[in-house]
Amino acid sequence: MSIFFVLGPSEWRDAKKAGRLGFTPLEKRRDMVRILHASGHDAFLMRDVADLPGEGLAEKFLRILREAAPTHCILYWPEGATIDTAEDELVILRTLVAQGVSVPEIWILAQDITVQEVRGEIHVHDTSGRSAYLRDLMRRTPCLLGNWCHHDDLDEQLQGNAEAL
Amino acid sequence: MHPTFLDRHHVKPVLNAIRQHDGIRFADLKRATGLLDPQVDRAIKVLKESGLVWARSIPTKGARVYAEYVLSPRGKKLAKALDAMARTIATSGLDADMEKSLRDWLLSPREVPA
Repeated sequence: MSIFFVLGPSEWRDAKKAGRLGFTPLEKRRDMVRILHASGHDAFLMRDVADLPGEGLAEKFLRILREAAPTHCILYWPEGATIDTAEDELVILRTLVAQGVSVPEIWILAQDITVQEVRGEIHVHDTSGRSAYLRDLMRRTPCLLGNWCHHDDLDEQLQGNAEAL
Repeated sequence: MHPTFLDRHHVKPVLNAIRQHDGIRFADLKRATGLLDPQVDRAIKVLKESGLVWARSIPTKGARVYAEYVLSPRGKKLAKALDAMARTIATSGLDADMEKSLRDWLLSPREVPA
């Protein structure tokens, strides 16, 4: 059994997108947790773990890595999401890597119009502020990139790969 | 008979080269397979769409982000199963023709019975 820490944004930049798609990025990440559970793995979001009094975001992130010992960090990367939580999580991950701290295996599950690999080079097309941190993380540590086009493809990729572990 | 998934777009040699390495770069894939840029590119696209192959970033000090190709967990599981079947075929005492036919069939998923 693997333990997945599911990272990523929580809201769309365009609030109407939630109406069109029927879910927010946060709700999608909860769906991903359900898929991982159904595949026999443990999985959680950062906000599912209770805060300790006086604990900052970085301290909480480090505590989760230490206590929950996730084997994988999944970064959900759809087009059109806000940078809020994703930015914080990327900064912390990038800082840990820069400090030489061992981090879980990172899976970047990105919508193909935001991040794409072409002939051996990864291009980040996403123009939001979070893209600089993502590029920096990939330049510092090996990250696995799995692309998807529609959210149904994401579910299928996630389930197929989780079940294969 | 229609070509199978692995016979199209040079997918078979590219997949085999990726299976033999724990991470292989685009230029090395070209060398390993003897294929041209667009042929490797097309095969990689097909393999990524099928979910068997993922790209893995390579740490670098430069501004660009480079990648190598690896089997995804799903691809690794499939490769393990194919390797086990290939070993069984190889140790079954079959004549060379039959062994080759079965090996070819192994890499043609549409022919595998449910």
